[in-house]
Amino acid sequence: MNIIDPRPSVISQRFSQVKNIIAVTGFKGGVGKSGVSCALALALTEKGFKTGLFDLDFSGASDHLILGSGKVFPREEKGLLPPYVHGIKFMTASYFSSDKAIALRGSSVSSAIKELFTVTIWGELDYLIFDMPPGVGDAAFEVMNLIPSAIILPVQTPCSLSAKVMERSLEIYKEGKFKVLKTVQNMAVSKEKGFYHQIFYDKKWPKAAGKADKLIKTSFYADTFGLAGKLVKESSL
Amino acid sequence: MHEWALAESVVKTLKNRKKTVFEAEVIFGTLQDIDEEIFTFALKEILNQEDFKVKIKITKEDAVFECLSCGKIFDLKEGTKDEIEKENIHFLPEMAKVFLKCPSCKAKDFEIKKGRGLSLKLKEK
Ligand SMILES: Nc1ncnc2c1ncn2[C@@H]1O[C@H](COP(=O)(O)OP(=O)(O)OP(=O)(O)O)[C@@H](O)[C@H]1O
Ligand SMILES: [Mg+2]
Ligand SMILES: [Zn+2]
Repeated sequence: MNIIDPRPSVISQRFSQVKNIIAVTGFKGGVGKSGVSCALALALTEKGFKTGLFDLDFSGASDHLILGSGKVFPREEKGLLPPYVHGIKFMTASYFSSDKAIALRGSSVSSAIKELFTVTIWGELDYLIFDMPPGVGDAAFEVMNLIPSAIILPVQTPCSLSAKVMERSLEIYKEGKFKVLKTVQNMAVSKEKGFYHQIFYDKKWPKAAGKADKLIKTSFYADTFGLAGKLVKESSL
Repeated sequence: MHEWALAESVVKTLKNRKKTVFEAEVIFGTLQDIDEEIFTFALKEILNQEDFKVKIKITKEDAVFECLSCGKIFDLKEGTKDEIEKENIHFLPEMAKVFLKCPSCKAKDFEIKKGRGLSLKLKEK
């Protein structure tokens, strides 16, 4: 007699109609992963793509605050259907926490992510963005184990520890045969070569949090819109 | 109704092992509070579309928690009475850590030792 967790068996099926999965990652905290994830999802939606966003930072969930998602909740059918927020199919653990802080140890994070991977019905999507917690931790391992098609989009800032540390953490994904894009530099202050894309420092961005109409008027959004264009080109290759 | 998605995972797991499995026990952890009627209905419907047969029984396992701060073992009698909190735990059992606390020292740092959610015990050739 062996005891088995049945959930992983259906997970690949749950993403079978999702054309592109992009995991926005970064070695350090606070480099702008969540902002880039939200703006990217808004930009892809504006471009007319069916887009989803999954906040995989369960303990530090923040996308609902950035987007100002309000009091929406998944619809229960043969699973959980993520509600639309500004046209984005949006999933987050914060739906289930009644505005309380979520403090989870590693094994609980893994199990909670597996649960939502199992029961969330995404349906057809052109792009699904994963907003990852900082570093290579439990969420990253769940993605690596369960979502082999994920494309890794790393974000760093000009003052990020050292590019070397970042490179080393990306090796883990590369060893797992994941497609890793060149790094996005966020909070850029001057034009530099060698990045996938640059998003410049924008003092209006933090102030626009929670108000989608304001977010899309920032230069942060305009820069991320450019990033979305590159990703679309990339995925049509 | 999201029981349907969970039932699918059980059928898929059985299907992957259909050559060897002859008996399965689906265990519901009481923390997640899965609706047995809906689950059983979904399970039958999904299995009907498959070409294999397995004997399935459903059992329940009571939730047991262990406080990682003071060591106290406790159960769902100390659980939440709030319907919304119960529903949140139903969708995502780990949310127990948000809504429950150790009855002895009030810590939220506890382990779900048993009875979290869905698991499967298989008898295989
Ligand atoms: N280009 C930018 N210009 C100005 N402020 C920015 C920029 N990018 C991000 N910020 C601000 O920096 C803070 C951190 O951003 P964000 O939450 O997106 O980072 P994160 O990498 O997701 O953080 P965490 O690791 O905590 O999840 C926020 O207050 C955000 O508004
Ligand atoms: Mg973040
Ligand atoms: Zn205690």
